Amino acid sequence: MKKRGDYLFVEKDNDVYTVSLTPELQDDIGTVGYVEFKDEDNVKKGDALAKLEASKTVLDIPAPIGGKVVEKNTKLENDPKLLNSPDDKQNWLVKLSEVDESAFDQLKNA
Amino acid sequence: MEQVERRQFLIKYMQHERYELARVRPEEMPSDETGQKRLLRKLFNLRQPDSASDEFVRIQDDYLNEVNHTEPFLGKSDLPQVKPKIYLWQGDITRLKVDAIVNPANSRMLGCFVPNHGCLDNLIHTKAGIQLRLADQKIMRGKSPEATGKAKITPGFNLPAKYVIHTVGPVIIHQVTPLRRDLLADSYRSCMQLAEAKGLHEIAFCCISTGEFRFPHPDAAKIAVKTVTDYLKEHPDAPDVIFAVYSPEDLALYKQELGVDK
Repeated sequence: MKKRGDYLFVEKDNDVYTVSLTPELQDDIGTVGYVEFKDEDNVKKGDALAKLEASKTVLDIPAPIGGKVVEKNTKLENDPKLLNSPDDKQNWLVKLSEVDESAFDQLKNA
Repeated sequence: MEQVERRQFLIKYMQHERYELARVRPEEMPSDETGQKRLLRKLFNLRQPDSASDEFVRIQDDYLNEVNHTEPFLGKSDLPQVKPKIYLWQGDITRLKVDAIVNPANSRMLGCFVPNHGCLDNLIHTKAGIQLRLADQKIMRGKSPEATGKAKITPGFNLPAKYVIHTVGPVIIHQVTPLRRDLLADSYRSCMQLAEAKGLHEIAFCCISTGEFRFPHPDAAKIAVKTVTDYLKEHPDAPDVIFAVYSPEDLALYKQELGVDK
């Protein structure tokens, strides 16, 4: 099941929630040149997940939902342009677990 | 030491630095005051965040103290209050003797390097003195560029304001998108949060993002007023807010947004 919040998609697969960029956000920020993940793994909604340096802005990506970061797309550190890919197998940022189900339900349907 | 001697000392010192560092040959000293002032500001603007001799700093501070006082400083009580906790005033924000003024920074966060550029970042750094860029560098050291919508604080040095709160507002590329609106609101909120956390009594906002960053003035005024008034409602201990607008057009827009009679 896929939802959206704060210009990001959140896709639920069992207990793992994958955060990726919406096409609107991709268009708005331009080509991503650098990705720097934040160290904190336990995030509240609004906490920064990563800093992106893109052609049209430098941006902290806020967590659309609280949870625990269980996986980071570390491929982005060598190939940040993957974030501009239309393929959501490529353009994801982090995977979260321990997400509050009801908070997820409150997000808009994608 | 007279102002003219101080000015020439500062010019020669920085020209010497540039020669030592990069073999830049010094320009001839202009004979008139305006020419010298432009050359001095250019050298300030181009100067990297390096320390200088105690003598340089002392002479610079004396020089700036006199230059910055050309027009009287203004405190909160000199400004028109338009609502509880909100003041609206048109003029040069660098004259304000308040706890903090907001600097519309770029993501490098080191101040404007373009010689004699007309942006507020340039003016704030020129009037504060070389210490401000050094302080910028200290807070940015080892970090990648500053994200849009955040805020950082430094002392104001030779400015009448105690602190400068630096925020990078959104740049408008082709059009105003929902993300860019949110980021402008983030900038205002981040500045308020930082000022409140520091226990400041008042904060003076410029019109963030409306200069070089091309955010349309009417939209920006709406977002500024709404974000700040919402914040004040939720935070009774927040600092007082001064909207220090530069142009008569912005003054009219803010009056409209604040519901103030013309």
